[in-house]
Order: sequence, then structure tokens, then C-alpha cells
Amino acid sequence: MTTIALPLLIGVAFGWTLERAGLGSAPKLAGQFYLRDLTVFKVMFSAIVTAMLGVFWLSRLGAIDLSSIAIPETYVAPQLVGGLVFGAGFILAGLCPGTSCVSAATGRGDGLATMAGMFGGVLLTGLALPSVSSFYSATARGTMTLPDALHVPYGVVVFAMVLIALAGFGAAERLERRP
Amino acid sequence: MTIPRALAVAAFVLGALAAIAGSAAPPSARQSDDGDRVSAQTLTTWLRAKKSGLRVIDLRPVEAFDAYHIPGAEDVPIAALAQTEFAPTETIVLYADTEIRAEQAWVTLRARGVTNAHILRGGLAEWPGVVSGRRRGC
Repeated sequence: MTTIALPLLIGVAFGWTLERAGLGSAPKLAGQFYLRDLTVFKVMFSAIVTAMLGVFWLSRLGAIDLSSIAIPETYVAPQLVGGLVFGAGFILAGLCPGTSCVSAATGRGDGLATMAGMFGGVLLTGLALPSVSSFYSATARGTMTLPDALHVPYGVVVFAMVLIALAGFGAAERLERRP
Repeated sequence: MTIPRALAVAAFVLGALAAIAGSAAPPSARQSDDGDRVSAQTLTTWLRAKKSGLRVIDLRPVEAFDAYHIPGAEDVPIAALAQTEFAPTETIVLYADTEIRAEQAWVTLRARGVTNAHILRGGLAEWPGVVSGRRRGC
């Protein structure tokens, strides 16, 4: 029961938070590409910094074991292409996969259309996978992390990310206040 | 002080302290095991100990298997996996060049009710003999 109830509870809480932050609205999300409304940037970077600091300090204090956290593998070329496709879809629809679910759940037509397109894309990718499987697993780099890649201590990377986030928040606020 | 400013100050302080206290590098995930994945190190131990019921399944095409495979591995292309029988007492380790294909196979087996399958973390690239061989070739 826990395996169904807990993820459901977390999912509902996540969706509710996204909606409360205004991220179910495609015009609001599209605003970031015109540098008018950087809510998405601020919400996501806040979440990243909160999670990063939480994971670091909980691990440092012995409350969690970092080795039990799965790190997705890096595939440079396919992930770059995937990122471009994702970005193009984000700009076209004004929604990303998570926010399209929130948008659809609140009855917005553009959210439903984006979800239909997303599942269509998943189906097409699945059907095309045998012919692109060699590219799909090309340029494998294993499980990379920033401390590994930069040869910099973990805590220094954490601090650097906090500074980047704070600078980003400051720049975002200035951009939003432009006349 | 506004709430956003207070949160920014808190993040700055926690980040700065992390830079000072952060000698504890994150343990490398590829060295560890979890419920569904085993490291190359663990598999090596199992092979050396001749672990009872261990079956190592190579999911790559037969040409790749013939060129190189983990000692004792069986050549079972992913398309043939659905017809392959597994006993509940067996410990199954799936591998291919990367984890993706092994994950697909793991899902296939899980859908059949096979719950004792593991994925070789990092795929064949993490297997010590192959890694050292590739490095020599570079």
C-alpha cells in the first residue's frame, strides 16, 4: 500500500506546489523565454539549491547515505540532442512534461494538447528506438557528478552552485523590474 | 528583512559552511550496490566464490558476445529473454554495453514475475578487464 500511497501523496503535493507557483499556466512559463517572467527559473533553482543543501548536510551529518542515491548515466551526444528537442518543445508548447500534467489536471486545453503530444512523441521514439539505438547509447561517460568532472571538493561545488543561484536570482529580479 | 532575503542569507551561510566542512566527497555510486544493481566488484566476488545459482546474462548481439564477454556469462539477446526460463532460486545479473539495455531487460523480467534480477552497474564499461583493455587501446 505504501508503494502506491506514498508516491501518490508526493505526486499530488508536487503538482499542487507547481500549480500554486503558477507553473500550470503556459503564458506564464513562456514569459521566461522573453525575459518577462522568470518564475520558472526561480522556482526550479530554489528547488535545486534546497535539495542540494539538504542532501549535502543530511549526508554530512550521517542522516542519509549518498551511495543509496541513484545517479543517472551521462550520454553526451544523445542528451544534448534530447535537451534541444526538449527545449524546442518547451518553447512551442509553453509547458514542460511536469507542468503539462498540472495544466491538464486543472482542465486547461493547452495542457491536454501538450500531454497528447508528449505521449505521441514517446510512442514514436519507442517505435524508432531499434533504428537509433546505437546513437541512444553513444558517448557514454558513466555516472558523472560535478565534483568528479571538475576535480573540485564536493562542498566547494555546493557553495559555487549557491553563489550562481543567488547571482541568478538577483539578475532575474532586475530583468523583471525592467519597464 | 524580507523572507526571500532571509532565505538567501541562509543558503549563503549553509553553502559557505559546506565549502569548509565538505571534505566528505559523495561516495561514488558506481562502487555500491542497491536492490536492483550490483557493482562490478560485487559480481567479481560472486564469480570467484562460485555463488550458487548465479546466472550472468549478456544481452548484447552474438558478435559482441563472441568478441568478449564476462567469464561464465550466457549469450541471451534481449529478444530471446522472454522465452528464457529462470528459477526463483537463481540470482540473475544482466549486462550490456551500458545500463539502458539491461534496464529494459530488467523491466521485461520483472513483468514476468522474475524478481531476483540485478543490473550490472555501469554496464560492461565498468567491468575491470574491459576498462583496463580500453584504456590500453587509447
